[in-house]
Amino acid sequence: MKSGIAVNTLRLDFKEFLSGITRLSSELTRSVQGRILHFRLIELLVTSQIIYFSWEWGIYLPKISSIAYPVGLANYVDVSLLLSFHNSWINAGLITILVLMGFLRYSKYSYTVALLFVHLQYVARFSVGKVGHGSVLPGLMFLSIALATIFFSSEKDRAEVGMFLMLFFAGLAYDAAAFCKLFASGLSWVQGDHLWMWMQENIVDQLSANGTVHLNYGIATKKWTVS
Amino acid sequence: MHPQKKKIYLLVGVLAVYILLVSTHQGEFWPFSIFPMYSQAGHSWTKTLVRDVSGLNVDSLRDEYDQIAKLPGKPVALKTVGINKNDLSNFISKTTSWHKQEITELRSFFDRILTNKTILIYKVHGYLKDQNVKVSCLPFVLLKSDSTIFIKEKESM
Repeated sequence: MKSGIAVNTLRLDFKEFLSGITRLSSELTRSVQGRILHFRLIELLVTSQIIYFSWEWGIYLPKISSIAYPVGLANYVDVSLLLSFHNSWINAGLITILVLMGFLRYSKYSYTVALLFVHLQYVARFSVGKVGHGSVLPGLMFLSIALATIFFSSEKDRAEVGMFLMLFFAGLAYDAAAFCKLFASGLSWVQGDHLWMWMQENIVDQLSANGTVHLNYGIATKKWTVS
Repeated sequence: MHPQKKKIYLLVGVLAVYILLVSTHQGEFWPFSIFPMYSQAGHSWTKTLVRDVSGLNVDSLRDEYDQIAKLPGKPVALKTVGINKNDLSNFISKTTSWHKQEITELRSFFDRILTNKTILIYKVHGYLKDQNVKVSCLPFVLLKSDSTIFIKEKESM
């Protein structure tokens, strides 16, 4: 009972938080200065995520011993240099500096160079057989900001073009995802069998990663455990 | 150039690069993606589970199971070994011929624990049958501190 109340309170707070963010966004976008501030806040969020991914992949890279299944630019250039401890950390450090330079507007090209280095870090990290998708949206948003920074000099235009490209490409990518699902499954794509398959796959994934599986990530009072 | 024209050229240019790269790289060229994994919805899948079978007889490990809870030995949590679960399962499912290099790569995942443990990697195959999700767990490879033993794989996998 107690945990039920706690979960409801948490949901309520999160709902209020989201509604606060929406109100703030709509207030900000009423003036030019507000739109620029809005864009800079999103830029801060995106660049922080890019730095986070660079270090996360950089720290993991030394665990990979060779480029088994190249993706992206790794099909054309040898990125195995990044598999050593020092190089992946140096690359993450360079990305951090370039991103900070871009954010502080020291150079309009630094975001684009950083994007290239992040791409190399990504293709080295996901060269074992499976690519990660969690970084696609931040990557597309970062690309949009980098292009807006290069091709437009005023912050007003950068904010306008950057936001437009971010929303356009995020929409395009997820529409493409929906079409992939439709092409594969046809009109019966909503059937529950697919969800059950996905749930069972995730249960095996959790077992593989943690040795046990807890449905609902421990929020449920009753846990179903297999080991 | 007029800013409005510049915006249109920029959008069309990036869109062309996006389409060109994803169409020539199986739907993925970071950060461009069409999320091709959605086309796998409802299809059967193969994952891996790792068990610590130290002290168990090799001959007793050749059986196939249709329930994960019945697998012999103890579970090895890949997180505690510092391995990403997807890296291991994809490496195993994508590798079709196992030469010295692939075996070295596989063993390198478990460098930290192979000195004092014997582990068995199961291929877990999930599929739909009569509107139910079934799993079959097939013993794939046994890794000892000094040797690697491939256990015969079922043809259907």
